[in-house]
Amino acid sequence: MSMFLTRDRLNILIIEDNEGDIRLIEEAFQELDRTLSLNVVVNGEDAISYLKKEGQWSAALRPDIILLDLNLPGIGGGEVLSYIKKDKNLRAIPVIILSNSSRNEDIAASYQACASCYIVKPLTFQDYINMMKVIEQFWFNTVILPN
Amino acid sequence: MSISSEKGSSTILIVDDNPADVRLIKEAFFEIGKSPELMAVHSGNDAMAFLRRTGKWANATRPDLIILDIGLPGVQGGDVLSMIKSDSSLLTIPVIMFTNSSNTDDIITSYSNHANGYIVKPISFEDYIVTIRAIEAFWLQTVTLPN
Repeated sequence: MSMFLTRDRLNILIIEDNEGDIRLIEEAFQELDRTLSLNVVVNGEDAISYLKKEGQWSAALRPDIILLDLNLPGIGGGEVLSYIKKDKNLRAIPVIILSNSSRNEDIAASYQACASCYIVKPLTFQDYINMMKVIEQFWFNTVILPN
Repeated sequence: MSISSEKGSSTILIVDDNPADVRLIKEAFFEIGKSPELMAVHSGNDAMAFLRRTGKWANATRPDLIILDIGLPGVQGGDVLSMIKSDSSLLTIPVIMFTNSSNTDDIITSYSNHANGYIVKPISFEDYIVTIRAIEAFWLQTVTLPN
């Protein structure tokens, strides 16, 4: 289907504290017909350490794309987004906000802080699968990601 | 298939100096049975006049999404992107770069300047359909856009 080179080993960073959502995201990604490297951190502090390659993440791979929840314990997702987009070495990485919130304030603030896009979390597993297929088709098959 | 509710008529601004490419985008939307309002301007100056509603564009509709070519006469697409993303009243509008360039510098610079995606223009009409379908499914059906 794709007219471009298929990226078989995309590195995806999932920043999410809810175990159920992590599982749904991972399982929905597994439904895709491609090998992905999925890395999960469960709070904002760990996300920043991962991106800075500190401590246990000293050998962490630079993510090709980030899925970021807004509602995180400690440093919130909005602050993580701002940190990424103000860092000249990180800001080119696309950040997809994946949140339970459909508040206009959260949506506007995320776009103002240069999130690539904002998606309200689906309610059912089937909708997670549908969402991942659409994400795959746009971000993995159509777009050229920054290296 | 839709995850979020079907949006009403969305407006997309196409900024491209090549009439054939504009036509291919419009025909691809027609081919997939989707009919967002498609507006087109052919230079960077006109794009900014449209977005700032000056001159003949005083009554222009604010676009939900911008498809932006890089190689434009006069003000280049990269400069248009920078102007949009540094204007507090425009920066939340997603901008997808749509260009013949697969130059790594163009890709990195675009993402660093907060492009919301970077697509190399397809060659065939069939591939235009695949690309436009991916854009439509992601940006108009899955993502929550800012108001």
